[in-house]
Amino acid sequence: MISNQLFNELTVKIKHYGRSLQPPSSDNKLNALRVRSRQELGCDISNDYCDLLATVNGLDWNGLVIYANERVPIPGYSDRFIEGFVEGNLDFRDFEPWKDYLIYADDGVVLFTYHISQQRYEVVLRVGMSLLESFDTFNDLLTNALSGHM
Amino acid sequence: MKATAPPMQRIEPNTAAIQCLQQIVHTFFEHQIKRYIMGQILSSESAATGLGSGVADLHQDTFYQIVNSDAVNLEETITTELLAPLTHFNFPVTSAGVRLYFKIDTKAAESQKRLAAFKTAWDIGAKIRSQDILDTIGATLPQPGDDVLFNLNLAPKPNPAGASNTQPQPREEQPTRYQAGESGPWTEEEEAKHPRAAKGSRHGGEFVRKDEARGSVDPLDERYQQGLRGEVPPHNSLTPEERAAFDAGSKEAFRLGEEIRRRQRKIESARKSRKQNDLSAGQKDRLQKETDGWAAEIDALNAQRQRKDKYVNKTPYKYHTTTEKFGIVAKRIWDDKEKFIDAIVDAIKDKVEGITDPEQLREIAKGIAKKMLTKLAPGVGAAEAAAQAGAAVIELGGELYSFKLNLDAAQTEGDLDEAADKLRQGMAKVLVDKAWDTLVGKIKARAKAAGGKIARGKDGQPDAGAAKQGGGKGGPPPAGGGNPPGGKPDDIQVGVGKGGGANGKKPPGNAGPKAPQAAGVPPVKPPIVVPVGKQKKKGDEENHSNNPKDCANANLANNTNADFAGTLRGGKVTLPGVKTKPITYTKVDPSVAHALRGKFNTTDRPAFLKKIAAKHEAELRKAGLSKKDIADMKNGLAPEDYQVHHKLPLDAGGTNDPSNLILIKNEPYHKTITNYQNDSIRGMAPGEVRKFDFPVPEGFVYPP
Repeated sequence: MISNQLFNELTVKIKHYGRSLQPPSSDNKLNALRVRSRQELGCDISNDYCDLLATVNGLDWNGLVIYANERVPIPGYSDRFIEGFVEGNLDFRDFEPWKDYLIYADDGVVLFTYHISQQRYEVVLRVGMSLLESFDTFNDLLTNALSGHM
Repeated sequence: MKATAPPMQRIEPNTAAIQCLQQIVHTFFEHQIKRYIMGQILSSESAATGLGSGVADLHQDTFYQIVNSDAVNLEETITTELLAPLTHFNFPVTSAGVRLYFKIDTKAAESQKRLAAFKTAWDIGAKIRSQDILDTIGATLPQPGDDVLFNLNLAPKPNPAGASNTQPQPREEQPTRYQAGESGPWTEEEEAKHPRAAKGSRHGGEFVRKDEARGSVDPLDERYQQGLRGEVPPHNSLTPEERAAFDAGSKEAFRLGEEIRRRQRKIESARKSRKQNDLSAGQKDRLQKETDGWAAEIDALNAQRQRKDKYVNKTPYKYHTTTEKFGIVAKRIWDDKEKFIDAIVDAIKDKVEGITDPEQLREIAKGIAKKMLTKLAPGVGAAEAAAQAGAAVIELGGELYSFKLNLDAAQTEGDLDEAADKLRQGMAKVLVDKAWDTLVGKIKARAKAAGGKIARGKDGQPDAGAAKQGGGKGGPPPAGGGNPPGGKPDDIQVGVGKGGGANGKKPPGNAGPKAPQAAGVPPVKPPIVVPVGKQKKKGDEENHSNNPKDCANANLANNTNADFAGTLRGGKVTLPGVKTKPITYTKVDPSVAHALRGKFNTTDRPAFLKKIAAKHEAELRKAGLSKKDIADMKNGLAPEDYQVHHKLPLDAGGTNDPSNLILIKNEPYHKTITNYQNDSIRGMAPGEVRKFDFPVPEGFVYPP
């Protein structure tokens, strides 16, 4: 998991602005997600990502979207959603080069990904696909994503 | 009986009583008289002083006050009763208007006291005017030529240059160069005259404003010395206030300069025009006076700026900020304009092989360089030039942003030279690209004015298939077109080449532009433009493609009226109101985008959100955002399910300028646009330039 301090800070901010965290994902849904990822995207998802979803099932905060186990409505809205992990990746895979990536989150400018062939976590430009930063673990990737939106 | 006289008895007077009376008169009354008249007694009697009580000092002070008062009275008496008649008697004519005073020095004891006070003040480092000390002891400043005595041990050492200064000379009271506001290398004479100042304040052979006579040192130099001692990086020792003040001064000087030039142009224009009497003599005079005032103000501000620039220039480059390095490089480019024009000529050659006349090429280059060189004008000042050049570079394209990264790392003269070369070449390339589009646009407009028609496809886009080449068979656009000889830069005309003219022949004159072929840039087909007012025939049409991967004529393409449609999840998604626009995509180095992303996250995105929330609340509400969303935006927070999108992507040299940003709903709009963009630019390498029709949503929120 990401550092408690960062997560606590995020939680405080979300509540401060009158927003709510997504409820945690159930184990069943997480298992289903693992299976779908393997079948439809051809790659296993990170255990750390599953741990995150077990705490909070996706996040839409200040432009940063961390995908949920499936498309879920944002609390308080009927017409706004957080994209599901598999669906979101399939959308991007309309552009073929994204098939070499698992995309965990995006913020409009970059995508927070796992580069399958390179076996590393990468921050990649959403348009242009240029590599900006790379990390060894999902938690490092997530920390980078959150710290840019605090 | 015999009478007897009464017996006489001699009684000896008793002196005791006399002595008693005398004692009473002398001792008691004298004492009392002294006390009441003289105010004190210790000056004439001995008495207990109450050790440490200050009684004696009080008595002494009283005594001197009385003496002083008597002396003043005496001075007045002698001055008026004796001196004046004597003067008038002896010098009846020449004494007219002259009044002599008789003075009595009554301050001897006080002088000692004041000198002691001066000494104490000196010991604790207080600054004392030499004139005050001399006044205290009643001395005057020695004048040149006076024979003076002074303590040799405290005198400046004899001239190290070997001058025969065996007899110490008084310091001449001539203004130093500091006082005169001058600067420059020290002369040998100055070094000899001010050996201590020369030793302590000479940096790199430059005269530093140090006035040994006053012991004053420019605070900037003092801190520079601190830097040399390693106590603080010299450059960073400028306080933020000083830095801000210097920069503000530079900007103000620039603003005033602009104002003056504007006024001068106005005066000149009025003078030249037929309505030269529009400005009355009084108006001209007023304008001129105002201008003169500004000029004086500019001089003062420039002096202030130069002081800072001088300080900065003494500092090793590694301590300079990137902005200051930018300023230095900008000035170098300005100073060496010919080099810049050469770079532009090289960039043009890649585009227009047909123009072989070097003079014509240089004329074109000068025209293109003019705007940028104005931005780099040295009168702007280093900081302002940096800001201007920086803005210009950002405006020109993120490709050049990498120049900033070079500057960050620059530490030596050579690094700066190299950075200047790169900037020169980069600017030339981008400027030519931009200018070329403008030129082609003008030519196209002229062609239209001359009655040319442009073939359009089904959706309104220029259609390659519908293009017909007048006269000859419609082949692909030519690599070279006609260009009338002797044309001015603005008059460059691009004619159809082989297969493009009315008769299928190349028009006379120099060859026109061919496809842009900057180094490392894949060739792009040139536009077909009908020669102005001549070969235009029915059937001459432009060759446009609507394929984003084959956008030979992207920059000539008019915005289509059709809404942009992309694909998502295998289906077609239309974005109402979004049109495609021709853009020049210059793929930047990832480090550039990385830097901009950081700034976007920390400052630019929140600033954009705050701005539109404050200015466009009604429009945002109309776009479907709730009051709470807008309240959050006012705090710099993006609404849920929305993201801030770069119209021209960072990867394409886009910036975080608010005009390049738009708040966009994630699903399905944002993905549809970015997927399309990625598909268009597939395979591009950093530095590569292509032209595309890109979907660009207008405004600040989408969907509106």
